[in-house]
Amino acid sequence: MAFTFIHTADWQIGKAFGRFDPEKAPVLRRARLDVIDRIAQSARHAGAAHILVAGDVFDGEALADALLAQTLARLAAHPHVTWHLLPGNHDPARPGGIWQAVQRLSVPPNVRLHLEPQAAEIAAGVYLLPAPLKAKSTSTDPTAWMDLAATPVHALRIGLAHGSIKGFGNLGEAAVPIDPGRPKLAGLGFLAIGDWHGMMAIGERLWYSGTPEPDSFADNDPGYVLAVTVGSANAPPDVKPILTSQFTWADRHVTLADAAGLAPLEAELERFGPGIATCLLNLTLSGRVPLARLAAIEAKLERIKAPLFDLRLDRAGLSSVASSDDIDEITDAGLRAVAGRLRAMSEDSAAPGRHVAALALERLAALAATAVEGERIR
Amino acid sequence: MKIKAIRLAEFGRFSAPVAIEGLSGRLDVLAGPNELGKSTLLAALRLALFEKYGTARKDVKELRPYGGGAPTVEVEFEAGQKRWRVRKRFLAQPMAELMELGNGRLLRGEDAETQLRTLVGASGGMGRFGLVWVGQQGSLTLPVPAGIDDGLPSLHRALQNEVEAVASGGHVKKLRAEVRRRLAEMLSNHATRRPTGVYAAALKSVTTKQAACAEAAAALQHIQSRLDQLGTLRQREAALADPVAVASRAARITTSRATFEAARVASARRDLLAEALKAAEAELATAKTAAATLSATLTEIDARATAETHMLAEQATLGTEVQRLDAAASEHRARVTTLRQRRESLAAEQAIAHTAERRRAAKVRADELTQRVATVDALSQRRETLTEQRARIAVTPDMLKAAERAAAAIHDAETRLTATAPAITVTYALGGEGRLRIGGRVLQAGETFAPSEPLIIEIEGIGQIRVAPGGGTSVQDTREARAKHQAALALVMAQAGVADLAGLEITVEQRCQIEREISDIDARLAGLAPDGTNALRALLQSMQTAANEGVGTPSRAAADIDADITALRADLGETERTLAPVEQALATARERGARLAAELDASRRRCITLEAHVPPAGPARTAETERRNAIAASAETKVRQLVRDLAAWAEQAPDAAELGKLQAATLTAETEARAAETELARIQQDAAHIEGELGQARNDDIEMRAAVAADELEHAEAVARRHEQEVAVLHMLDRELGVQEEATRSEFLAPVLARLAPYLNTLFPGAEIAFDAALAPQGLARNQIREALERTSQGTQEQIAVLVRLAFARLFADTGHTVPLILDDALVYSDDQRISSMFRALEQAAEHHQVIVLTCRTLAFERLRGERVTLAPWLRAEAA
Repeated sequence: MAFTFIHTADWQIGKAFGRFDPEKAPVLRRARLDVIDRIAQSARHAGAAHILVAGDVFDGEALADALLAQTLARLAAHPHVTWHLLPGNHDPARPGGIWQAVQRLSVPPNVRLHLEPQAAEIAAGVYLLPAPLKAKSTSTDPTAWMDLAATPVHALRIGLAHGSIKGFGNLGEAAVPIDPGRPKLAGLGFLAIGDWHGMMAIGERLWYSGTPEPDSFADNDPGYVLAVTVGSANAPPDVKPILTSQFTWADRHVTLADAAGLAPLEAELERFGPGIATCLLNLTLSGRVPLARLAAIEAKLERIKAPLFDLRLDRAGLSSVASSDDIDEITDAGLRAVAGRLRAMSEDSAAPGRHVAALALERLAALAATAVEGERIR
Repeated sequence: MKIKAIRLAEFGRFSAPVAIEGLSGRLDVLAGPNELGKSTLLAALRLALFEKYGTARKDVKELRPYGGGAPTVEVEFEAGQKRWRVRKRFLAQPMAELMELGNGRLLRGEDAETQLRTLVGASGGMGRFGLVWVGQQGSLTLPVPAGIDDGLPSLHRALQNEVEAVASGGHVKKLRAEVRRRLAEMLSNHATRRPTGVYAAALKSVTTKQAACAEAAAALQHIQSRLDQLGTLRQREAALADPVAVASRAARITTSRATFEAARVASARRDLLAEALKAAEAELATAKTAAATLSATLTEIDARATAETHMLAEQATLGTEVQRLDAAASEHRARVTTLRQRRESLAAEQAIAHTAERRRAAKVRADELTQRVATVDALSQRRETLTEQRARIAVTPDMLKAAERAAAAIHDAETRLTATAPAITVTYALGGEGRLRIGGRVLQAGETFAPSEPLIIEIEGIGQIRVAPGGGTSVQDTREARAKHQAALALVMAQAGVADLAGLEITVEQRCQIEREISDIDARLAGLAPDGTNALRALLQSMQTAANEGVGTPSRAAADIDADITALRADLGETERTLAPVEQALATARERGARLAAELDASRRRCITLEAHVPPAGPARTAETERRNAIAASAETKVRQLVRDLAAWAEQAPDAAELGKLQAATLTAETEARAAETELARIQQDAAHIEGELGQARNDDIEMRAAVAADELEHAEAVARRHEQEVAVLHMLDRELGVQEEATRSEFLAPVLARLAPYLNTLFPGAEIAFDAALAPQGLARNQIREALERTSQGTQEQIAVLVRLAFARLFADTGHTVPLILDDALVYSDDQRISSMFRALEQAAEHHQVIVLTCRTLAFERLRGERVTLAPWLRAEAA
């Protein structure tokens, strides 16, 4: 008997994205609802009738009922699949919590809430063993109960959990330990887990699916769901990643020596084509560039920024180098003297205002150039 | 630059064309009377070099001659190693031409103006020329370039605009102004600069966001807390509502109630038995008392019968003994009475004998006292006589002592006077004897004397010699002391009534003898009548009375009577001692008899009483005794049974404390059950309340608000940090540019001061010009005294103003931008000496750049060396 289902997690519906501009944050929030449609579509393509969501469906416990209702409506809009929702550390199942609010709303018939660690037959001979979290953190392994969970002989046992894998550098953000040996200990055909936000195979029967729509610049393969087919007990499951993301969150670190150092990044972004409009770039610049090249770099950055959905720029590691030629290019003797002092300060590792001096030198150079240019024009 | 010629036509007061030709380019002097047109020449020079030919300014129009025309000016000058000629016509048919005389190249119009600006090195206005061209009455002010006096100190401004430009340092100031402008957009101009504009807005935004974030975080935290509380409540609810727990609580109540009830019943039973035991014990005690009382009564009755028999026997014995003792006592009592009567008789006889003895002794004593009284009276009389004699003598030993002290003092004074007196010895010449007299007394030959008082020696037939002993204070004092003592001695003698000191001594001795005799008499009187004469006489009187006391005569001697009495007393004592024990025994026997009678009577009465409370002796009494013993035995049996029962129940019944605990346990179980019910209801109520609160929080979208607030705060803080960094950058730039500005000023002021020094030394040796931080001249320091410039004389102010200009001109020349210095009617306030010095300064300056002096003081400026130029007709004006 082969059973195919979709493994997803970490939807975190309701995430605020407040650090983005007021017109961008709602777009990112909406994308977390929109991805539900694409997940349902993936299930249809994979021939799966069940979608297992391994926790953190919601970003918090006090989200507005309206948002919960919108989410349920989205799920209900795909009656060909059954959604199995599991509470995670962001949305633990506790009295008065978000799942109680969900239950008070009209839960669609194709949505099953797994709020207790009880085996549930989701298809003929297929038992889902959920490990719902009832608190934001726990010191015990919520999947431990699966070892002794009673199911019929020859039943296919599929675990669903949310937490961090012990011994794997504590992957994930939740303080919830999960034993990586659980599939074997509990006789699971597959253990679908969430929390890591990125796609990762811990073992052939233990996977993180990652979030279907990225929500950070973490470089851990987000944006996928997994189409999992579990056959016989001996055969390893067949796991196929399916891209579902709308937005691309790219984190790049570029070390510059001059403006040309940005060329590879520009080329990469060009390859996005129209998709550049849904790309968020977190660009960290470092290195030391000649003072005279700063203006060119600024101009290039402006060009890079224009088509992106958003650019987060961290240039704290980028400093300018004022060479003797740079200083000499300043025609005014007085300004040249000032530039010389600022340069000395910026290069003095013991000077407390070293960084400010470097910026002041850049500013002086720019102002001097403008002044000279203005005089030339006059 | 050097001006070589100036030519005018239709210009100001010059209706005819005039020209100054042949300027040397060094020191050129145009001297002439007032209204010659010197100032017009300076104005023409300014127009030619710095005014655009197309101008229609009012001051240019005012230069048109009264008769009308177009002011025309032509100037020939050297600049850049070449010779040039500029010609301009204003107002009517304006034109400008600039010709390079070396090659004849001619520029017109704007080309000419542009080239001219390049040649004079001014982009607008007069530039550095304004600093060194001094018009009439302008020499009193410090150089202020035309058109730029916007309030800054003139020298400071001039240096910034002219001197810095020369050294290409002008951008610092402009950039600093820009930096400060940007800084002013972010910081206020208060002494303590506060954020303003976008910076203030960013900081305010951070504050606002922090508050919002804190508020949202607190709300979210509250929700989390409420969720935790709700979880706890639900757990507690489950625990309380658990059927096992509910059944356990109910079972606990039932068990505790049953235990308590059993204990309570046992306790009640035990308490009832205890009460019954108490009653039975009381009953037993009563029965025992009744039996014992009867037994005791019967015993006492028997005892008393026996005792009465004994008492009657004793009573009979006592009667006999009393009779015997009474007879013996009577016999002794009669003997005592007889003896006592005899004793009284002897006592009367003894009294008469003793009185006669005392009378005889008193008579002897009275006689002795009578003699003593007579002696006392004689002595008293003699004492009175002596006392009267002593009273008549008025001299006392003290007076004698005073007289002796005065006589000694007089003798001492006379001795001292004699010692100081002249020693006179009389010697007669032959035939002259007896002719010397003193007070009529003839002095004898060989007579020697030392007069202490003045005296006159008479010499018969010849005259007198007056001898006056030495005077002096000491002699006079001695004389006065002698006189005083002589007067005191005379007074004592008068009081004593004696003539001399010997008489006084005799009188005193007489008095002393009298006093000695009186003392002897007093001693004898004290021995004879120690208590006084009256006491002595009273004693005599009493003795005489005693001698006559009493009557009768004793029959025999007192001693015999006394012996009889003594014997009688012994007999009486013996008799009384024999009687006493008999009397004692008799009293004791009688007392015992009385007591025995009383006891017998009391016993008989007691027996009567006892018999009244018991049955009559015989079978009735025996039956009563047996009945009472049977009752006591029955009561004792009952008590023993109750004691056994009580012990049995006491084992089952707890004490009061334990019973209280059992009751409390029951109450506790009931209370806890009720509390569990109450808590359960409260939990359900609280849980409902919290759920309502959480529902409201969800509706308020608190989760989203908190996340957004946190993200917005992070964003606002980043913006604020950027502005903060920008302010730091601008501050650093401002500071560094300021440092550079100051350095530039110092750098440029130094050359000016260096060039000013030699000129200043010419007029004011050793003096210095002080400049403030803004480079404005502050004062003149001479001989270590600093004066404010405005407080110096007009002449000094004018001279310093000219010297500063000379320094500027020299600086320009030294930096390759030579400018001619022009003075128009300057130095009008200078005295002869100062003007000579100024001439030397001008002459020195002319060695470095051209100096043109225009003056109306022909004679005063004769000593100024240099080329004399004159105003002459401009012959080629028509051609121009």
